[in-house]
Amino acid sequence: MSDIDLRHIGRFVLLILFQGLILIEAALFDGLAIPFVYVFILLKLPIDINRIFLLILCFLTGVTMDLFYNTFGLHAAACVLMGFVRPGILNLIRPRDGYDTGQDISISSFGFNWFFTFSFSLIFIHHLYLFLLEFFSFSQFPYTLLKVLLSSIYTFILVFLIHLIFSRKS
Amino acid sequence: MDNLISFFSRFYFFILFLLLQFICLSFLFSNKGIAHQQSAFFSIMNDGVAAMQKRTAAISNFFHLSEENALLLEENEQLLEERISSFKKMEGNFVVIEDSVWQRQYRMLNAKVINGTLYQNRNYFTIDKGSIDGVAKKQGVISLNGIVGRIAEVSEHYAIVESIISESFSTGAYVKRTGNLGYLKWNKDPAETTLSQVVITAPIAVGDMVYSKVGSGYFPPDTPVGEIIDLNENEGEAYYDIRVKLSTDFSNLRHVYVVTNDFQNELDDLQEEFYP
Repeated sequence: MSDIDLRHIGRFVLLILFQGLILIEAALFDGLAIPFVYVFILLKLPIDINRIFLLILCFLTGVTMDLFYNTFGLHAAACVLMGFVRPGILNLIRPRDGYDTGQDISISSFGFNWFFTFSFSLIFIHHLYLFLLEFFSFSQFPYTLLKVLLSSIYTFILVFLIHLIFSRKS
Repeated sequence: MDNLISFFSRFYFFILFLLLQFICLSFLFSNKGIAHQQSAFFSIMNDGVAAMQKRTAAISNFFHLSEENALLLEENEQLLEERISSFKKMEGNFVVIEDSVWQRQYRMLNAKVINGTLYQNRNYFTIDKGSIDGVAKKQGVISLNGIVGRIAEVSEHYAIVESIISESFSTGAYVKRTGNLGYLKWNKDPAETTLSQVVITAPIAVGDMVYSKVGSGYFPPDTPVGEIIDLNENEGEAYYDIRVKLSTDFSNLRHVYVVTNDFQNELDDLQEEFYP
């Protein structure tokens, strides 16, 4: 089983600060598209990580983010849900010959289509749950859905750029 | 055996998921808005986060210096206008002595906005004054332009303000020209709010100014709220639908004043006695 190493911790610190100090003011279209790039921390965790450990890491990441947004439990709840569905989604989109041990989640190991399906579905689930919890009503459902969709696209584009910048050429 | 282990691992995974969700949601939906008042741990963590946000705010403040300068000049003008030397003596030779006819009721404490949100359902921002400077929960917060919000949480050096653009925020207000009373309720647009409970017979019009009511004593009398920009009569309903453009620009809020009312305790005691 591959463990959490220094790269994961560095990514955690950098992305939390990036999100909490800079992106907190980076909404587009009058607040219709809000990026939550910190989910990249959770996307990049090892494939064969212990599930219990995964949930706890998700919870801690969410709580840290909540400190910056002054919203107690909102981001934590969305992150925990994301951690809960992650193993299932990895299983659904498993390549024909399965995963190798220690394989890194990246475009270079699985290709863009796989990376897009994996990241976008998790980002979408995270944002959907987050915005539904925040509005806590289905009365403005079309508006919420549009917000979820635009925000997910915005987040994915930023995640993709960060991935490009930080992935090492092999 | 392998099956058994895998079953238990799945089982614990699911139970832990439910447990964590329960913790998050009970935090989120506890009625206090910010649910971590009692917890010393979160208070310390929040101080740390606020200190970091202060650093970045210092950088972004640098780029707003010229706007800031213009604002200060404007404020200076106002102060100069109020100075005793700018009043004309109308008759005789008055001597100003310390008298007891006027006693100061509202005191202002200026504070810098460190960070804040605009697009959430409840919008809070952090300011750089805390209990050490005399900030207490529920005190009103205003800017030069008008009403801003109310203190929701205080730590030693920082405080969190629940802004008027929050679902949970409500306060009394009235239309200046006609004196009709109503309640402010936010409509999820960061530049607007609504005035509800104004009876349909009131002779108000678009363009009228809305001011805060003295009522609860948290805001000084006649703190501006905004200007009526839209007025709708709904058939069969007793109240207007009124949209108010806020006079405070929340997207560019850098300096605020925390209001201390020296008679607040007296007012609270009396009202509590009367409406238990």
